Amino acid sequence: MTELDRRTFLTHAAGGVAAMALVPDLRAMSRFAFNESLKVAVVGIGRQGRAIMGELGNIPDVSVIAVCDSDERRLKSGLRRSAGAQGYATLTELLASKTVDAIAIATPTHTHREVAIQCLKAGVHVYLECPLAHTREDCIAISQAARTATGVIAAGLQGRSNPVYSLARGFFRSDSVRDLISMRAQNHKKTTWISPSNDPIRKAALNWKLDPARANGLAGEWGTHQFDVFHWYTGKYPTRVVGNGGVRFYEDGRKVHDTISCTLMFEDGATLAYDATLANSYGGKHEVFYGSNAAIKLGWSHGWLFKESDAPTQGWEVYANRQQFHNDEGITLIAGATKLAEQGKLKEGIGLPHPAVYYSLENWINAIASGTDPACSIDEAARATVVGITANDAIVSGKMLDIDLSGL
Amino acid sequence: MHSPSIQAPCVLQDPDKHRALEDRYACLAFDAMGCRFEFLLGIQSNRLSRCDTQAIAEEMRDIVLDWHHRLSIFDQTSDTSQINRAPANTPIVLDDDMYSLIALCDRLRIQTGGAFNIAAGTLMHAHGFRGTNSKHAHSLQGIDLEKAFTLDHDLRSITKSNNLISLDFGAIAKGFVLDLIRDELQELGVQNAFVHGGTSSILAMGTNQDGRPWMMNAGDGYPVPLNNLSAGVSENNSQSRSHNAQLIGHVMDPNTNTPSNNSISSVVCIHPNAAAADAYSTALCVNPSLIDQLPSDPCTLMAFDSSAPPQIRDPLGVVQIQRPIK
Repeated sequence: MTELDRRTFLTHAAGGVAAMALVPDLRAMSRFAFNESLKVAVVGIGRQGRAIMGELGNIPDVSVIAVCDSDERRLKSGLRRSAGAQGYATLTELLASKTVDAIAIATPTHTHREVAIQCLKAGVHVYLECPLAHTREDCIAISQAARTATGVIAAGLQGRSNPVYSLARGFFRSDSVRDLISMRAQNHKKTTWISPSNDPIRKAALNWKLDPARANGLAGEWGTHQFDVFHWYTGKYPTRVVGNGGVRFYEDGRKVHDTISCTLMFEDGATLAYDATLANSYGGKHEVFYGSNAAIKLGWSHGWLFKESDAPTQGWEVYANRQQFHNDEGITLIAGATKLAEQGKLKEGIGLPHPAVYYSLENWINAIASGTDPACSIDEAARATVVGITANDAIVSGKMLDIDLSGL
Repeated sequence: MHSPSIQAPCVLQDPDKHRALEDRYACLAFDAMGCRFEFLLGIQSNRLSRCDTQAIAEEMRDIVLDWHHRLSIFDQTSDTSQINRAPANTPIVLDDDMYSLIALCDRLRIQTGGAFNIAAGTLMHAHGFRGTNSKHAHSLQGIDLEKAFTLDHDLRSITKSNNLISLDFGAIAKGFVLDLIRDELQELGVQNAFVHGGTSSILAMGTNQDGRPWMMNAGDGYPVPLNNLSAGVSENNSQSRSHNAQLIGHVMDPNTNTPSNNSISSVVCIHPNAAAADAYSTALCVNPSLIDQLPSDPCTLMAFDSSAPPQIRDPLGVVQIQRPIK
């Protein structure tokens, strides 16, 4: 692993570098402090892996120098997208090369334990996509391995590093919603959830999400990310969950539900109602906190505050941007609003310029550079993942289940 | 950065026709690259299940959206924006996909005598099509777009010759991505499909569900069969702005650094390669005399004028247009 001087500001030109890479962003000043580019590998070049590669390319002083996937087609597609990167068919070969400082893992969930533990043992910095793992036991194993790891280990629960979510959390925790009444979230997306291939063996390997033995359905794969937003805001975890689901649309013999709903119950009596479907896209993906003074709605790139008529008005609200939603008017929550207002660019700030995964990766890289903790630890991800796993178990079994977070 | 919305295909807005077609085609429509893309993939004709065919359409959509984000001039994080912001005389290393696209564009520039040139984005800026002031056109003096950039094959890099050089892939992006889609569809075993981007870039593979060729209407309603072919359509005045009481079209002539000025209203190019179809149709809009000069590829070119009969070069013999243009 390359030694990094975390305090030295990089100046490409000083080194007489003859060519710039297309990325990092040529506009951006380096916010990080490496004496040379951080050498990153991406393991797992499926849809999420390719997204990670693209966003790493937008972060200054980061070079994707290696890509790894056991699927030949995906590996080739990754290599075409990363100038000068080396390709590896196995993680063992990648780690044996000892060329990388950090590894972003985007392999299928059920492989996370094996891949993550190998990377942690190798002493590199690790970014691990979420859900953290397929089973509670795997979550515990990864958590334990992370505690003794030497690198900066971040989990990809992206709400925790999302600038809009951080801003809205400040409002939430400063009493803007007052008494929390209830919570609701959904993820609606019309998609088959199938990765096509005309090779049956490859198709089976690619479509692990539709195999109940290898994945935890919509609650596990999607819900985990959204449940964590509520954990992060409230500082609490649900204790029980009940739900139901079914295959409502896709008549292809699949066993994994394409439509689910569940209710997660908290100790104080609050509930989180969650539903997800692959058959309809209305409303997309969002989370809502309902309070006695206001509701906060979060849509990953956007956020809004909906105030009750009897709630107190604060000075800044006079200058705030507002959007109309049928009979409701939402105050848009804009990250860096004060600075943008000073520049007369407040409207440009509505909606984040990057996808959520960018901020999550940026936070990890920043933590490596500064020696600080990343926004989402492996332990936090382990707890959120077990909530998702239990929710899926409740939906599949039709029973109310206790959520056991002991030992996590 | 907002993902383009996904809506029902407009070709299927008649509910009865829609239901009749639903069993035969997987359909998907969405907005990208400043237009609406629509996919029709045959189900039975490709011997696939409905879900698998729909999944393939979704995979193809992801390819389009990926390139939409990479090539957009409006997204500050796109590859195009980063190249455009780069200073002159500094090599910018590209990944293989991006380098291949720019190298293809450079070959097409040479083939078309410079009439197609991705550096025409410089002119779009200068002539006020990118929210800039048209007075900016004065800054074009001395800029030779033939030498807008150089490519280094070994380093896989591009070097701009002037800070003002701005690339714009708008005249080829849709065709380029349709070629990628054709290759992917073939890899996945799909032989019968119809895809278009904004009706101006078209990919037709195999036949429709009735076993007949896919058809397009060229110009003012001339039916043209597309047998495993692509089509590119360019119009001189599909976008325009007024300047000094004159209407300026959005098609730029990179050889004169001015907006294209001729009697051609639109050009259709039918070609096995969708990127070439897009590039040739743009080039012919810029320079109609190219109709006899373009490479001897298997290619059909139709140039439409408001007053004259169409000029047709038809080496494939697939199109016979006998009626004069209105």
